[in-house]
Amino acid sequence: MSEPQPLDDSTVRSRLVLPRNPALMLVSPLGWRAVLYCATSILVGLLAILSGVLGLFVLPLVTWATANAERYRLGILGLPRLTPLPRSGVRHPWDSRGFGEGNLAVWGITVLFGLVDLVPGVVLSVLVLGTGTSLFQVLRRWPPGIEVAYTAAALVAVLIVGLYVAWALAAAQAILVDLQLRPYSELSRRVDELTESRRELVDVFAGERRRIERDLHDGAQQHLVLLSLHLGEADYALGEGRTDDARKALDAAQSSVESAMTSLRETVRGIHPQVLADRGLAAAVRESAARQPLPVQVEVTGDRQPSDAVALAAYYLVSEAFTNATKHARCTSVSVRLSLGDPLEVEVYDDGVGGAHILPGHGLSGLRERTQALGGDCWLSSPPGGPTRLRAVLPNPPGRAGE
Amino acid sequence: MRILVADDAALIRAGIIGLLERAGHQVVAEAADAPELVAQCRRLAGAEGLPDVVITDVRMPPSMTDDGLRAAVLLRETYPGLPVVLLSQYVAPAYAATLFEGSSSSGLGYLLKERVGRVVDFLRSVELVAAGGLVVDPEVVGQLLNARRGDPVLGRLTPRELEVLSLMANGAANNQIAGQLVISTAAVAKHVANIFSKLDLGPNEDNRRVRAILAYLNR
Repeated sequence: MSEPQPLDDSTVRSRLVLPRNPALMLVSPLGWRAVLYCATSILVGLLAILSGVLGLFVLPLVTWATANAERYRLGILGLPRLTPLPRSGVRHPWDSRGFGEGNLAVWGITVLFGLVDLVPGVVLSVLVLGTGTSLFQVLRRWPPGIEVAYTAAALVAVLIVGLYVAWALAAAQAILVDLQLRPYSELSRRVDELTESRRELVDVFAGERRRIERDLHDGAQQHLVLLSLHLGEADYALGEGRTDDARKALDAAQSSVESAMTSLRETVRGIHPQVLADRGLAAAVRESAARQPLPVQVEVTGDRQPSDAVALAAYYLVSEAFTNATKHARCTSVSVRLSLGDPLEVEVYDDGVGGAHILPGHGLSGLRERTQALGGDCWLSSPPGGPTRLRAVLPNPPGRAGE
Repeated sequence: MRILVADDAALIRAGIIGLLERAGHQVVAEAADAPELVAQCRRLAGAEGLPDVVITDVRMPPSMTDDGLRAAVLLRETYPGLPVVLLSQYVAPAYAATLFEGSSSSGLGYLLKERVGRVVDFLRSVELVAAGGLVVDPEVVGQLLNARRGDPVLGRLTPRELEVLSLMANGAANNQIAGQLVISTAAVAKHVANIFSKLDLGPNEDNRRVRAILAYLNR
């Protein structure tokens, strides 16, 4: 959901500031938006009273609906709409919880402003219509006399006064509504964000387990099957008195065990590299770089050690980038730039063929989710023809190392 | 025997092929993934004739799930009675069920991959399947039995008869069962007869052994 984020108080106020020159008021979008806002205020206000009186017993439902209408109506003034709240607590239309979360106060504000706006609304409409009509009539007389100028000036004056009045009323109502509703909307938005990031983390977790399972299946398990096969063959050969064949099979068994050990070591390193825990991120990245079949340049600046989660995320990003570069990019060199500050920045660059994507459900996508869950973000730039650049930024506040 | 071997791990494929060839069998084709397995089988069917038995891994490319199993089911639909031995890295009774459901019931094997290490047993299983027999890994049998506790049909069997049946499922002949359970061959024959009658397999039913095992596994 790309709901715009609620703004802080000063930004809300600054969006409601008028142009200095009163003449500019006529062309200021804010003034005319305010007129529209006030007009709908009257309408919504009257509706709010009416439904409040008619539906006295379902007043919680009415106040809840009113508050939601007000959230959306802020958009008329060019303010971001506030995230509506789910009717989580409200079980039935007369459940008094419908009054909560600022709803009752907003209903009051809506009714009040509906009534207050009505008076200047009617007066100003009459004035504008009156001067407009007389201007129309003086224009029809030919040749135009000096009274055309008077009437036009009067119309402009009435319009400017009307726009100011509309602005004052609209801004007052919007600020009050915003003050009432924003805290709850903010909460609701945070809850949405947390739910989303928790779901993503679970996905990342599941993906990780799948990867480990695959590593074990393709690695250690295959070698162990082979070991069993060679041992069986040795036994079979011995039974038939072919000692040379048996010895050959035992040799093969030996190398299967060694391969299984190597493969297990690789898998374990993939789960949590020992050197990362012992020597920190920079050493782990250097070690990983040294294991690549290509020359890898590593450049480290700063010395603020990140927390375990951040270090692991950064390490995985680098490893995944190495894997992609060596497997798919057909590149001749790779370079890594790691900046251990706050935020921690890591960038992997290769001069390969490019064209890499972050596909949902694949390695990089999981790593991006992990990065975002930690409060950071990651970007991939890989135009066809290369080069490929993977960049990630992770928050790395002081004093959290080894957490 | 003429054998087709399919496994995506080149090392294991080579190992199995070496084993079979040293035991005097002929590996007529090999495949590294499920589509290749089907293609090789079609090619052989069109040229020198179907292999006597197909040995395939369950988990293979392209999707790295149960492609090998699905290829085997497909092959048995196209060539009914083609003997297939499935090798699996882990026990999944659901795989066995899929395999035994759709096809004519003979000439099938479902074994854990590491059983290839018991060379003599493995070769015997392959020969049994090629001859139209049914071989199911003891692990799978154990799990299936566990899942079917309280089954009315199996409930009629005594624990001893269940034991005999599970060994039958593993491809053992009467004298081998007698050896394993340390009882006489005559006693085994009596148990087997009891099993047949309790599972309503009359004396005129052909291939009663296979039917008993299937009844035991999933019917």
